[in-house]
Order: sequence, then structure tokens, then C-alpha cells
Amino acid sequence: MKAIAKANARGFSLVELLLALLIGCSLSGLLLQAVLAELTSGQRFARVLRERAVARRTLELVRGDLLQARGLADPAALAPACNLAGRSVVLHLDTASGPITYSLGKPAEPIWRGQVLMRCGPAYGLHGELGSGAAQNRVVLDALAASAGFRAQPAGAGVLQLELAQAWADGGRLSSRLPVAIGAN
Amino acid sequence: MRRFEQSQASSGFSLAELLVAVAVLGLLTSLAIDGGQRSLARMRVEAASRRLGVGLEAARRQAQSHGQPCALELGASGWSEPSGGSLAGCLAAVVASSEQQDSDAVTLQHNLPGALRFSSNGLILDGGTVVIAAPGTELRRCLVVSLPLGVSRLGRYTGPLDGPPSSSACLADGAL
Repeated sequence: MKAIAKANARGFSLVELLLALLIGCSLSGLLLQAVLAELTSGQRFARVLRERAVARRTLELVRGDLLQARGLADPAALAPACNLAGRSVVLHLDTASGPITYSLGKPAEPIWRGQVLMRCGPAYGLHGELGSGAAQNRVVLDALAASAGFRAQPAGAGVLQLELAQAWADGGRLSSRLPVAIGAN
Repeated sequence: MRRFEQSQASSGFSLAELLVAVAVLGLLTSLAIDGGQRSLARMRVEAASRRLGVGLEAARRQAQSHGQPCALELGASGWSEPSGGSLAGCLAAVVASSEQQDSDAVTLQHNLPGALRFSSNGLILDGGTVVIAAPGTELRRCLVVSLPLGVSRLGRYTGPLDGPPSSSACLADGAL
């Protein structure tokens, strides 16, 4: 009896302590991993929401340009107002303020990811109207898929379907579309 | 044997052992303080970068929801109402980034115009690059604002410390 009491008073052995430490560390590691995964998932969800809103606004911007245009134009007949640096023309519009060209291709600056959609055309005024100054060539949206990142194709009589496809390095994807009634244009 | 163990146990630590322990503790503490300060400086840079983005979005939303163009000016401590020009300030952005950074703790360099204008339909009419840095960290964030939608991207700035920021020195960061 005395011997047991003495053994208890000695505390934990080294093996017991190491085992407890191992279990504690494993549990903490698992918990940390779960928290990090949750955080990453939350950040990814927030980014998808943010990018979805930007994609929607991009389509609305193209729609606004389409509605202000006299019609679709042929780049061979009406030259774009900017140097497109090898990017391919995906939508070319004839407007009263000059041509507006949307092109898809590699970005000129390293901050943009994937393919970029660029708009070459007159700047906007304080109320969103097309200005009369020199054409500006600006990145509208990045992270577009290499193929079919932006498409504007007929979808029935007088309707043009605008489609965006984005892809990120971590595997995230986003598709957005907006039909535009171009009427007599 | 028992007597030897008892005498060893009761003798405590020698001066050399204590000095080594104190030295190790001091080294660990200094490493922790250094790491903590660097981490704090990085957090200041990250927070200031995000505040700038939040302010931009708030200003854009305000212009669109009120149907009135407005403008912002970027000062040493963040977004503020423009000091000149005829456009009203985008108060929402100033309020959204009201937790302004300490101008000594974070430095902002930018090539934005005096007044960054927002149209009544929520477009941004001016763009540029802002570089955010803080003493105590080598991390320099850059915020590139593109028009007309106001899409902004945060990256890692690799350009020279002085001189106006250049968007070509702002690299996409995989961690963002």
C-alpha cells in the first residue's frame, strides 16, 4: 500500500508525458488544419461572390456599349482605335463616338492573371455617357479562360448572348452569361 | 547510491547551467519579439491594402446608389474628400475606411490623380497604382485600379523604393 502511494507521488513517467504530448500535438494539428481549411473555403467563397459581381458588371458594361452602338462592325472595314498587341477581337462596335473594340488575350502587365478582356474605346463621362476624347485601351476583367473566355454570339432573332468564362490557378471556375436584345441593330 | 542521487537532486543548478538557460531564453525571446514585430508590420500593410480596396468599392456603390458622381483623394492616412474640384466627396468611402492607418506606421505612394472620380452609374473614371509599405517589413503591397469598372488587384511590389509607382512592377501574388 505504501509502495503504491509512493509510486503515485512520483508523478508521470517520461513515456507517459511524451505520449500525452504526442496526442495533444496531433489533436491541435487536426484542429488547426480544420480551422485553416474553413478559412480557405470562406475566402474562396468570398472571392467567388466578389468575382461574380464583377463579371456581372462587365457584361452590363458591354451591354451598355452595345445599346449605344450603331451596330456591330467589321475590324477590316473600321479599324480599332488602339494597338491590340496581338489580342484577338471578340466584339467590335461602331458608335457615334468612335469604334469600341473588346479584345481577348495576354495582359501587358504582370498583375493580371490569365487572359484579359480589354476595352478600347472612348472614355466615359460623369454620368456614364461616351465621351469624345481619345480612345483608351484598358483591362476590364482578368482570369478569363484561355479558350472562349468571352463570347458574343447570336442567340435567336435580334438577341446577342454575351458569355464570360473565368478560371483561377486554384481550380476555381465561373461562368456568366447575359442575353442582350439588340433589336434593329 | 541513494545518498549520491539525493545529494545531486538537492544541489540545484550550477551557475553555468543557469547562465546557459538564461542565454537560451534571451535568444528565444529576442527571436520571438523580432518575428512578432515583423509579423505586426506585415499585418499593418495587409490591413491598409484591404482598407483601400474596401473604400474604393464603397465609393463606387455610393455613386451608383445615389445616382450622383463623387470623388476621392488619397492622402497619407487613406481616403479623404478631395480638397479641390467641383465634385462632392464619396463620404461612404471615407466612413468605410475611417479606421485610418497611422501615417507613421504605413506609407502610401501612388500615381492616382488628385481626385479619383466615380460616375453616377458606378464606373471609375481614373485609375492608377498605389504602393503600401511599412517599416519593419520588406513586404510592399501594390493595388492596381483599372477603369472603367474599377477592378482592383492586390500584388507584391518589386519596383524601386523611391519614385512614382509603376504597375509593371506590381506582380500577382499566388498567396492572395
